[in-house]
Amino acid sequence: MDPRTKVTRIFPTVTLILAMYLIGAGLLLAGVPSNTKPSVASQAFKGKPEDYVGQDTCKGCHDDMFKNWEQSPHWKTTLNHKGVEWQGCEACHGPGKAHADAMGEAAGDPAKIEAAKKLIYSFKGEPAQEISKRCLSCHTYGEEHSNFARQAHNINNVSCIDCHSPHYAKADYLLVQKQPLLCFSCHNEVKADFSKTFHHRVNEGLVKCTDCHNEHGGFLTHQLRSTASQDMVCFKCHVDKAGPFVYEHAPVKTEGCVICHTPHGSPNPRLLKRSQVNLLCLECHTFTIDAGAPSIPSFHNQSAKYQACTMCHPMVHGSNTNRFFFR
Amino acid sequence: MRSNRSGLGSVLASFCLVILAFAPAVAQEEQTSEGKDVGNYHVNQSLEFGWRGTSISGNNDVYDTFVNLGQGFREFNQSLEMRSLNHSGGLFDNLSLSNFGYGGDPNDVSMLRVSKNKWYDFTGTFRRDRNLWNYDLLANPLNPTTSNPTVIVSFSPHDMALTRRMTDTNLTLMPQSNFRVRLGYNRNINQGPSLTSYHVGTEELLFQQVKTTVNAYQVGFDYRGVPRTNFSYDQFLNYYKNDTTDQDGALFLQLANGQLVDPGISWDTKNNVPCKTPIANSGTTPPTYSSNCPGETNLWRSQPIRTSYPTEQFSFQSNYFNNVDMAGRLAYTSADARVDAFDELFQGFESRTLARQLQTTGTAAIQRVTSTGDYAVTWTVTPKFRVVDEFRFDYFRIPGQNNLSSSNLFAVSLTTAPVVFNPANCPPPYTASTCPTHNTSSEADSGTAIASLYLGQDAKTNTFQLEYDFTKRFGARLGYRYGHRLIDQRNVEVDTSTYDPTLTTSKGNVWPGTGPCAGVALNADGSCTVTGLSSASLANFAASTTINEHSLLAGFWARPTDNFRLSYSQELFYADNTFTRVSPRQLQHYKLRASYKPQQWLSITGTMNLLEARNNVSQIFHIEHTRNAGFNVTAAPNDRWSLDGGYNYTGVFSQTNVCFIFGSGPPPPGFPACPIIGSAVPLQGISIYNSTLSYGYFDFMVKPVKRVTMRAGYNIDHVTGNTLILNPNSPPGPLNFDYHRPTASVDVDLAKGVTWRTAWAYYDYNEKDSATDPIGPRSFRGNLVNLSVVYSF
Repeated sequence: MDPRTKVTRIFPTVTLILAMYLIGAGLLLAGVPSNTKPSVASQAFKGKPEDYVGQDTCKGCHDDMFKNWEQSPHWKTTLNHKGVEWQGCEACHGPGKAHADAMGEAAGDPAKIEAAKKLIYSFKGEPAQEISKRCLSCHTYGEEHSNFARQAHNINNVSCIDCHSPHYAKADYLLVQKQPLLCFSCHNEVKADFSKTFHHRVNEGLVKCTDCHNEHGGFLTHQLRSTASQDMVCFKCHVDKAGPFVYEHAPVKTEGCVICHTPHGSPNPRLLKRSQVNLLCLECHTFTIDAGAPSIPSFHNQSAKYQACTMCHPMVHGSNTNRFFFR
Repeated sequence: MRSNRSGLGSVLASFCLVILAFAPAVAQEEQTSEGKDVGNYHVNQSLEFGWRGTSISGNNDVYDTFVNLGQGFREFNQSLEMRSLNHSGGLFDNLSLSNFGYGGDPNDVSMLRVSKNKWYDFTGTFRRDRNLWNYDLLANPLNPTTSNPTVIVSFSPHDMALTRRMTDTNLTLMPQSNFRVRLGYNRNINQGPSLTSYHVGTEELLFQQVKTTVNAYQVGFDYRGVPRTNFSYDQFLNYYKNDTTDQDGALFLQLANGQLVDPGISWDTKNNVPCKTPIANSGTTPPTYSSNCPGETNLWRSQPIRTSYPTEQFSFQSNYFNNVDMAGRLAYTSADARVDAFDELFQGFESRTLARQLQTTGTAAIQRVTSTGDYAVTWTVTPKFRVVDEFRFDYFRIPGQNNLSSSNLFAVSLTTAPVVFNPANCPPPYTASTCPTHNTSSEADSGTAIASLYLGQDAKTNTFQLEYDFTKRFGARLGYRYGHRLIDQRNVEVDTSTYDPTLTTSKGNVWPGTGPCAGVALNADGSCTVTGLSSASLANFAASTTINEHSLLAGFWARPTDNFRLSYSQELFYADNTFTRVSPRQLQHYKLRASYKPQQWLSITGTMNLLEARNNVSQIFHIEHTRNAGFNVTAAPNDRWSLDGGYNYTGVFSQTNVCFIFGSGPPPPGFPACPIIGSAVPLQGISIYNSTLSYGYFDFMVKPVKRVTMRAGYNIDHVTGNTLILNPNSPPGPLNFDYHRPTASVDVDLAKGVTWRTAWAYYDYNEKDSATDPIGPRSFRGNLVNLSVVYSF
């Protein structure tokens, strides 16, 4: 191997790692605003019944927010019989009596108003973990949210309200924007993928990001969903590739579809990783002593024909009647 | 297929006239969509209906593969929102319904959501995808022009015109209670015509009627009686049916006796494909095919598959213990697949084996047993410090068996009737002309084959991670993941083959002195029966692969200011073994995301995603990377104008040592002999794939006056690349192209709730070099104009 190739490969990698850790260390050492002590409001997520005032009191000052909230699914919290701490505005913002009383006593004094504002949990500037914890105190049902605490959004400080707006939602499920634009706003490399010539029909509205990914977590890498039968999510639509087959193309099951395909989009037909099918096949099915894939037989002449291996081996995902995937 | 589908001049003229006619109405009333109260409901409704005109030039097949938007009247969009004013509607409190694409677009979608507060929540989706796919390079035989005759295949032998209909319905009963019930039903039908190919002597083109159906049922329960804990149980049943049939689709030549024949799609007479002189008489209609060449006169195949996948799943999530968040799942699936009646009949001629008729019938039964388990826990040691552990086991095994019977007949040409062995007509010494004819490559006259195969994988993964929030604005994590995989493969096959006596004069053989029956005791009728593998290449085997994987995980997030966010993560991966040559032994993955929002109306985001992987062991030297970086700017300072734009770069590179056969003609320069022991003939090369993709876009909106909204946008893909070209007939394909998609639209509010919309989209796909390649060009241009009215209240 050309040593320059190796250096070229290593250099950006090392540079990037160093840069990232320098940024991280810099942010830590530069004394970024530190306010790690939880506010009084955040400590008192669920208070005593006498600390609550009910949503009608909130409505007195926050009429516009109340109007939006009242039309949203969160209105259903008023039907909760577990207690006042699970109902209305205070189900999310915590007990509001101290805040309401202080605002009343402020009598227009800006300093007192500022102090009173801190007596209610407003979500603004709070850590993602804390914000999400409040939402999850109700939204824990089922598998959808069950692994939220360990998923990529949460550990990267992305909280529920980065995607959902309880008061000013613009799409179903209180989303701030519809899919896929909402997802693209952070994952803009995926926007490029779905603009490639061969792509899953996400931009067209046929497929949603959340059809394949569990945005709230899940147990699989890349927050992928699986089929009901615990198979790869691809097989939910591409059912004929799922098998089981007598003759499995083993990497499909052990390595996954991504061993040959790029799922979001590709310039190559069938979302393949290579522009020529035969090279894709040859990379594994070659004469070698290193891996177990059967090598190509001697009559497969690459100079004149067999441009695409799939012309004779169309059932590459698996077959029940032919070990060579002829039928 | 290249054509100009329709003139657009009249469409554009009409559009201009319509715009001019409505211009005076501009800026008179402001459009609102506040909805209105109807009974106990507040109702918002919107409907966009209109007409699309298209003008397509160039390769229509590629246009259909990429875009497939046609001309005609369409329901472009419809939405209905109903909300009970007092939260106490009759059958429902909230209803949301939306549709688009009906009237002929390839993607039609309907979504319905209905709920009644504490009683039920129902979601239903119907999606139809009409998938016209014909990119002619895929599976194309790339016949050389030196063939006589020259046969250029200008379509993909694997094209398709399938329609997939997906219905998903989910009903949750008593969604607010501590015990709720979930019911689900999903249906997925994929059907339509397609082409495929089959290798018997030549590569015949087959016509398929695809039909697959899945019916999936779900019953689930959630119980939340324990504080801060949820238990769920789900029972799933998926039932899959595949009723796809195949038959010959290209009987485009005739034999001397007038019978139609399919000579296959591979034509390279210089290399004896399908044979040296395939056309016996070109003066007939259709031309007469040589009866000594391989061909097919009839093919029928049916292999209905029925598979059931019952799954039981238990899951839970709990914060019962202070500072401990746990989640887990256990699932078990035992899938059974059956092929009760495989039936294939080939009639034609395979010159290599003298096969004249091959009939195979049989059955297959396969199981897939899967059990998975997940357990994940986060222990919040202090408000700033968390310890996380996730464990997963994923086990599956797929034992499968088929039992196939074959009955074959042989003859010396396409027009010679095959001889069925009859001891009365073919007595020893087997010199009568009524004896069957074989050659040394002929397969058995009849036989059974029983194959038992097994594939299983036992995978376990554990991820341990420490998370620390240094401040409210900075947190970091460090972790380690260990994975262990054991992959087992086993194959046992037993063939019982009966060889009938061969005409002794054929090839000078003396029955049973040569061939598979040599030394085998003959049956009473003169045939012999051999048990074992029919070919040395079908060796039984058992293999297992063990892989240990280690990953170092790290990352941090930062929010230096309220307006600036940053996150970074990396994985450094090492495996001591691989299952495939292109699976990595070393991998590094770095991801960086940043967003900056200096103003409420201005947002800038950037991403960088680097994946470096290699399996650089002896004789493989696989190296690959995917390097991606991009940014996006969104500005919407007021409702008069906005801009959204960005750029994204992706560089994909891969190289792998491959050894391949180069049987005739001079090898490409620079290809040394394959160094693998015992493989002196094959050549070695480096399979290189290098692709650079640049994607840029913008979308600009301006409202020059209150009632007019104008938009202009542009999307462009610029792709360059190179790859190892083995086949001199192979065009570069989609390695170098530009794909331009400018758009523009004008919305004019005519009256309250009524908007006239005119939208234009242009598609310009320019695959470089395809204009000169034998099966090109694959470029196209498309003008699309939508004229529609949006009515909303």
